Amino acid sequence: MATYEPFYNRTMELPEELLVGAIDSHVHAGPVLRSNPGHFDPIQVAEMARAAGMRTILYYDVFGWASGTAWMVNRFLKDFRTYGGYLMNSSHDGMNPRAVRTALNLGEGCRMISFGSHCTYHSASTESTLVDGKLVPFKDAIPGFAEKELSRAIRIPLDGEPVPDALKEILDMVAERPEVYLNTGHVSGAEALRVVELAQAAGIKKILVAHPARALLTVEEQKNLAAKGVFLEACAVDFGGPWMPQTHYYVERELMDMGAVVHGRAMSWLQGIRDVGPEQFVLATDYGVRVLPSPIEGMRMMISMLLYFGFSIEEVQTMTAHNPARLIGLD
Amino acid sequence: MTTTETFYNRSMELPAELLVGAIDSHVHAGPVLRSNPGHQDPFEVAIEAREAGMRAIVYYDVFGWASGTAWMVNRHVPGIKTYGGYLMNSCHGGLNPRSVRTALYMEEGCRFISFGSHCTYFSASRESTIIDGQLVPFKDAYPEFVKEELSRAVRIPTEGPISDELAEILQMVADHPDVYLNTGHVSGEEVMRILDLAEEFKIQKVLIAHPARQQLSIEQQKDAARRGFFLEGCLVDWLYPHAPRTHYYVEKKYMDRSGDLPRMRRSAAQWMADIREVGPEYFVLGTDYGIRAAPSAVQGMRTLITTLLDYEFTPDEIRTMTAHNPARLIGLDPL
Repeated sequence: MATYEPFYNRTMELPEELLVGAIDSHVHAGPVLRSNPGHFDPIQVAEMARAAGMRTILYYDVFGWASGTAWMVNRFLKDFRTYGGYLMNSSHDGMNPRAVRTALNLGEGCRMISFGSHCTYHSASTESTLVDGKLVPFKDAIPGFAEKELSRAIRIPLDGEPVPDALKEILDMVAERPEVYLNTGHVSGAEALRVVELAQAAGIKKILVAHPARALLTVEEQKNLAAKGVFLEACAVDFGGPWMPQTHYYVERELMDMGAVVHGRAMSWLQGIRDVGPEQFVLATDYGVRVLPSPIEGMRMMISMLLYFGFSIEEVQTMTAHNPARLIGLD
Repeated sequence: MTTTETFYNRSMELPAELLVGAIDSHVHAGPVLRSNPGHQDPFEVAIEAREAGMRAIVYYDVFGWASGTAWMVNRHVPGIKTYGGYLMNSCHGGLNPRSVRTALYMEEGCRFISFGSHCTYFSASRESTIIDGQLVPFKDAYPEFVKEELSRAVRIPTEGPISDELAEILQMVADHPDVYLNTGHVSGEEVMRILDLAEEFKIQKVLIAHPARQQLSIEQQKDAARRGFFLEGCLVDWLYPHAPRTHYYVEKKYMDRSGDLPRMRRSAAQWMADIREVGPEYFVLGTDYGIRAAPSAVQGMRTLITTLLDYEFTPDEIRTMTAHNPARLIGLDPL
């Protein structure tokens, strides 16, 4: 019997109550690039999760294995066990069985082997920069990207194409470790379906279709996968959070994916303020409903966005401290 | 504080006093393979070093960058500063500029870029297993090792043009004057070429890694010192519990067994004599400790310092090699 929260009698507390025992299986907590600091370090995230009564968290690291991170957190906290995943990437030379083998045996061991995020062929060939206001894929716009990055991006052979030895070796390694799940990573829809086929043929029991890959599949395709016992992922970032250009994986500023400049609502909002000029702006959250973070967290997010967009510290203070004070009538 | 000791009047305290302000610039504290647990985790090393009054620790990670390790430690262990290095390796595809660039920009950034330990061509072609009581290099015992590992081992051309990848890496290090180049476990000839290339690319600081230094003659070491390069010596060079152990390779068959058999190694006395002859003012000494069987890194530093006293290095010379030179190398102000 399903139990529902009564429509006329919702509570502030129920979300917190449901956090108890919950698991966030997709957290990026660093280490990261200095151009894009995280919100909390891995130990802080684990401490907060523990305080909230959550059961565990699983760290992702776009630069490789998070087994070591989880091991360090577990050693430091002693009474909370976290897990790490492994994402293939070009710093690890793409599809590299040696790196996967190491990930599986390092620290507490990875619970997930993923074909990667930014360094899949699908992602690496779609991430784009702006040229004359238009999005142009890195591979066409940035000299050297096709040769140095796309050349070793992770590609899953489709029907009829031969399966490389490295891929076979990786699938076999995952199959031998029943506690480890295979994550499709940010591959294309067709590749995701093929990964599932190959993985099941190799005897892998647990497969997760990563959230961006899932979004490329039809409802029918997703239903078919679910019927085969495949897990489907969805993440809060799919709908939440301001989408703006940030460095995630590539150090180089010119390799920031600029899709957000064209398609992101936050970007047009920020540009609107810039166009008018920050002098008379008063910025606030309008937060308060249960689904949103606290107003303080909302202010923090907005301030962080303004900094990323290139507002100066003085401009941020004008809009979030001085102007609101003038408006209210504070000294 | 005791500043010196005489032959007939040695103190129990002087080694501990010399630990104050010392830097162990070569510590392995994990994460490591589960088949070869370390003695302490990175937090524990930092806490013990802090309690001993040491100034800093530099973490090595045979699997890549230790910037993230140092970052986590620094955020949660106040009172001491730790740093990370980067070692090239086959998990990272060997000589991989993307990986080096990432290492330089991740969190506080690596303080050194090394051509690697187990995955240099020199090391990878010498690490050996034992077959019928004889050492046999992996490359001769396992054809797949040649194909998968030796093929992307890091090799420095001893003459002629260098690859674009190597040039890109040297240029990145030159562009980061706070970062030093570490030769890694290359051959003596490769060291000499790296030194020439470092001068050509105007790299400010270079460390000749301890095994590579021992491939050089005393004359070559003196020449390198005169040119301003740092020379490394590590406690493991003469005090190390050799046993079959995984270090880098997961596979049990790829355990380097060369320590199992008696082998000519420089004794502590020879090692000390080399330093004396080349000149302590050019040396950076650390432990290279971390394995479960060895004492802790801090205890190792104490043993190292004590043995230097026993070989009649002066406290000033010991400070130079264990505090001042490591500080110059990693870019800390003189104390």
